Amino acid sequence: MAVRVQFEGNNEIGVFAKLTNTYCLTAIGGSENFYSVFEGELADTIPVIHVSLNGCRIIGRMCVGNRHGLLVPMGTTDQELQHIRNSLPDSVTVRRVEERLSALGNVITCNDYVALVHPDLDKETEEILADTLKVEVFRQTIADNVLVGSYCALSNHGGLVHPKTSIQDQDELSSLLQVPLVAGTVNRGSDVVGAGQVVNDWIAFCGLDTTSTELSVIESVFKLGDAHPSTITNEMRSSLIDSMT
Amino acid sequence: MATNSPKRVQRVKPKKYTTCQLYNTKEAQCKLVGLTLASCNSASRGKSVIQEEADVPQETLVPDPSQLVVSEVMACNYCDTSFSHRVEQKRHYRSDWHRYNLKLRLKGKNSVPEEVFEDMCDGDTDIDNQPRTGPNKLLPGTQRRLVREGGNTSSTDSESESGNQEIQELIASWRPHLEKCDLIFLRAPSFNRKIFYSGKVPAFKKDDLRIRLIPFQTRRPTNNEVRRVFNPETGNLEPRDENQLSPRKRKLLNKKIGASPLVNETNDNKASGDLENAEPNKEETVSSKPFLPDHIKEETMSSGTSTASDTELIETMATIHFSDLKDEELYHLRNSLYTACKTGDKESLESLLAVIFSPPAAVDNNSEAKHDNAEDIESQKKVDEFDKATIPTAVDNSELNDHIVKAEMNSDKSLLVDTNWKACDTHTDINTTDLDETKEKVTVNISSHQVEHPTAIPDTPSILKPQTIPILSPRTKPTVSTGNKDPLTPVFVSPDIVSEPIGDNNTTLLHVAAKEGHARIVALLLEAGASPVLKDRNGHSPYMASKDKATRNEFRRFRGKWPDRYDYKVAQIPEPLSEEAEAERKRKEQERKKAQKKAKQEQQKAKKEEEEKQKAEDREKQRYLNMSDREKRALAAERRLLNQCSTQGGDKPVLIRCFQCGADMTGKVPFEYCDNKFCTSKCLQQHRKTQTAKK
Repeated sequence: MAVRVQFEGNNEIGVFAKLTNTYCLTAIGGSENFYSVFEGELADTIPVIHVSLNGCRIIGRMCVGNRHGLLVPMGTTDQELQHIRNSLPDSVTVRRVEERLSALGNVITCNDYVALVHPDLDKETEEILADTLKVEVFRQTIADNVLVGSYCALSNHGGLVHPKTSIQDQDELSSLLQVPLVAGTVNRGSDVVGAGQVVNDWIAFCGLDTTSTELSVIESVFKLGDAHPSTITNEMRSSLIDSMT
Repeated sequence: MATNSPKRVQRVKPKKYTTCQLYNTKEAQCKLVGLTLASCNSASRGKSVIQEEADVPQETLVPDPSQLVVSEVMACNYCDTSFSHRVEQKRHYRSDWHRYNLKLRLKGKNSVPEEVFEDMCDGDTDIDNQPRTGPNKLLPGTQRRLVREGGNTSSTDSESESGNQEIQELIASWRPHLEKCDLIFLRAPSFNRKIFYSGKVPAFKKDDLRIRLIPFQTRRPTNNEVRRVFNPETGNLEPRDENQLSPRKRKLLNKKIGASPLVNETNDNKASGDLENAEPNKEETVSSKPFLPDHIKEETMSSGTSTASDTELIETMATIHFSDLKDEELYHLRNSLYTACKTGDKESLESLLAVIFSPPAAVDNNSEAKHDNAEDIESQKKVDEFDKATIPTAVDNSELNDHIVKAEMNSDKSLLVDTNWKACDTHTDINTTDLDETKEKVTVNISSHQVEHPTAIPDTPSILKPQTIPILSPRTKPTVSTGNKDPLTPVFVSPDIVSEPIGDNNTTLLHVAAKEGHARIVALLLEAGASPVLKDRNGHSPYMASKDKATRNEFRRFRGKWPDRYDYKVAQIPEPLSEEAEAERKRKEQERKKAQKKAKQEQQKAKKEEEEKQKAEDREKQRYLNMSDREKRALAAERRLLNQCSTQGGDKPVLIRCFQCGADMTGKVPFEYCDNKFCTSKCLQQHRKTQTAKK
């Protein structure tokens, strides 16, 4: 399922929210509209929390995370960090990273298994990334853009990359990330696909401007059609009960 | 003027404009052909406004689910290689070659094949430490060995083992230049420095005076320090001053630097202190008579934490005259005392106290000290004789003082102070009522001596001050003597250092130790003359600040031992704790405990009985419940019958007898077995055994 949402008139959802399989972070907005959309869709399954990082609202671009952990930039205050730690499940490790490229969300994209990072990222950060998020880290660019986090949206089922990514690059990245990739756009032709949407294994949120075609591309590449956290258990239950009786 | 501007000229030139309708796509297209959008964004660079072929953009097509597969092409487009295996692929993306090519690509340059890269690296594969600069500086291996020849500066460092030799070779190639240099500035982290001094052919000699390490250590930025640094001869750029220290000393030095900034400036203070002194003693210049060698200072600093250095500390400190202790030394001493009290390090405190109270005479001029002691005893005897007579004692003492001072004046000024101390001590031991008067006289004596012998002035004031101050306050009786135990080795006490307030809160060492609950330390301090009367800023006496009863008891014990020394009401210390009282209390405590134990045992016994009863009742109940309804009814009938009989006064009928022993068990719940009824389980068991035996 893909949902359209807007943050105070802004369509770049990926800037103001961070979505993973175990938690969802949203920026503190003037109104609760943005937050309540997320809450309405996710509150049954994962915690949705208000967060600011270093006093900024652009949390989606500042932090990076997956179901194992969350990395926040060094500027994050102790209070903010404590709030995040208190709100997230205990299984999620939260860690501050001292990195020159402090907009971690722009320079890193990851799912639960692999991460693509900016070629200039610190070696230490790379190690922290591998340790905390339990991912394999690859330095690569997307369509000659170093900001891999901005130009790529990744989930465990698939990925949407910059529309100008060549077929060869797509193949290379796809074999590297071990997920199918599609070059596409969001928000009526915007090429910053990473910043224009947030996605996890069963739901995607994109800007209000996203066309229905773009939406259907997103749904098909991230396999959101009938995906839902309970789908697997529901499907499996019938077969399980069959075999048990 | 305006017409001269080229813009103006261009504008003025007539140009033919045509208009066309945008919806007339054909016309509009032919107008727009060849135009490109400005390349503000790298993504839209060179994008033609009109795409000649009217192709539908690929991304808008919803991808066929069959297309959504993970590609199996394992290749790196940048490095132009392909891989046969996933592991190989992963390794490639971690390799420096890939990252190097990636950077080249981002600079718009062509990638290099692996062989070329290897050649460039020349075994040095770590490109990560290079600054993010252009590829012209990226040639690994050379950039790090940046050398500025011509000047006398060489800046080097190295990491790898293979690099060490290279560096040595490089420096060997500069040898002719280096030999001409006046100074060689060397910048290398300490762990890498050995490269320059080791090896078969060391690049530099260890004792090369020209070598200056940069950056070098400076002390607090005072005028003297600046002068010192700039002076090329005595300057701070001493050759490898760090290396000359042993590792342990270096550690201590580090600790010292971390511990207190004050320590670093001792030299400066000394110098400035000399300047401030109105009458500087020419003989005691800084260079000729160093106060405390550097390593001793280090020892004093570390004494609080390491017991290993304590013995050394005592040895070195013992040679220092107490009167020589100026502010810095007192500072160290205070620091060490404080740490010892805080951590409860009894040994170090003992050693420190030993240092403080050890008479300098004992070290320097033993004979004089003995003479002194003899006189001391003599005076004590005399004083004992004239116990109540105030005036003779005073006279006696002043005479004694005069005598001693004269005897000692030539040899050691510090002794003057100490003898006066002793004199005071004898008084305190004798009679407290006369104390104030006699003491005042003693003080007068001291000051008169000072006037007579001006040479003593530079050293004495710091010591005299604390002595005179307590005398002025009649309540505190600062002079304390532990000399009673061993009159031949009198202990010289300086109450100012053990009982002087520390910090803003006026806490004393006693406060510190009491707060931490170190009872032994408290006892030691009290013995050493720390006053329990002094209160901190909050008005708490050390007794009040005590952590636990053991510490408080220490104070009370002290009061028991020295009932008249301090005003214990002010010190808030309650009744003394004598040995007897303690023993008595202990006995009482034991008795109380015994009684408690007894009561507890009885209680338990009663409880057990109760439980036993309860259990028996429960068993009975269970047995009753196990019977069938008919039997219950029969039992009830039996009981009724019995009742009737008893009320009518007739004989009790025997309705039922035990199967085994034949005892009457009318009205009781029987034990049953094979429909046979028994009075007790014992009977039942007997019966059963016989039955089985028969079988």
